[in-house]
Amino acid sequence: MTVTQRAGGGTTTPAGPAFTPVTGRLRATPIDPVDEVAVVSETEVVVRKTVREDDPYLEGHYPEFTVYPGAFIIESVFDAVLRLVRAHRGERTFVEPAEISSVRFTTALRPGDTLQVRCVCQASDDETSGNGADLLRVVAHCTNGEAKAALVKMAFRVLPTEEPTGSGAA
Amino acid sequence: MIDYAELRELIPHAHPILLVDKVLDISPPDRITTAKTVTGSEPCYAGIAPGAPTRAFAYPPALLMESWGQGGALLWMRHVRSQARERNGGLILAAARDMEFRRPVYPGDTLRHEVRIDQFVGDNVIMSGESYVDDELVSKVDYAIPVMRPSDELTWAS
Repeated sequence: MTVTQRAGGGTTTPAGPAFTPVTGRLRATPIDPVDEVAVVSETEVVVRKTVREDDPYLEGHYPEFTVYPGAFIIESVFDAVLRLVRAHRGERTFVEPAEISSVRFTTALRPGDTLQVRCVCQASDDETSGNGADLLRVVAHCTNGEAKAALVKMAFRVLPTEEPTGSGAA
Repeated sequence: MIDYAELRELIPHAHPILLVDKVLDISPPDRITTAKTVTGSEPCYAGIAPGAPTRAFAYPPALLMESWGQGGALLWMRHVRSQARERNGGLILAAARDMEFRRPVYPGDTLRHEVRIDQFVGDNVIMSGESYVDDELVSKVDYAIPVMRPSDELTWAS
């Protein structure tokens, strides 16, 4: 993982984050929302996903022409944040969406397009979601090449660790 | 009431992303209640690693939003048809604000979506509403704006 240091106000020109390919699904999701991930720091993660004609659900959206449902971008944000949190808090940590304060879609994605999502996260120390879970606020800048695809502002609850199923735990 | 064959004709969404099972109530032009039962056989549950915890099986937020929004799309497209017009192209979500997720939804849960169209603005509408499982609030949306666009003009610019 590449950690970009920005110390003392000076900026280096990073070569770009180092991406790691992703396989397997961490949770229920309509498409594989992340092809590759780069955890940049404790608060920043970047993921990429290329839209494929044969992504599940796309054949019905729509039969005459394929357009990637904007809401599916939320799944890439979700997975990006889940992978960031797991990188720092352990593989058994889970997050769940708490709110979308705003989302605005600006460019339609079609098969062959590569969505890049850069999430900047901020833990809300003085905020909990009511059940004691920490709240993580996220601003996600979503691009398709040079074009803006969406801007998502949302929050996730960071849940207490669950025992894996089949572990024999009560 | 709108039966399944009719709802399938009204909105452009097709299998497997047609996420409304039934219209429970409709008060044209601006209120509708729909139902959608989540099942573990849906494609979103494929390929999850063995040993995944309970939370891994929560219904994805994108499909929850999509399922809720399709209720509004049904109401809207019925309104369009009542004006002797036809749907022109696809429906896409342009923006949403102030959406809350209160509890996860799992296979076996039946969602009841309440959708209100607060404003009709040309080929756009502004909608709000809630989703429930039994009487428990699952999610709410204060503002969502889907737009109708011809397939060769897929842009959100109004």
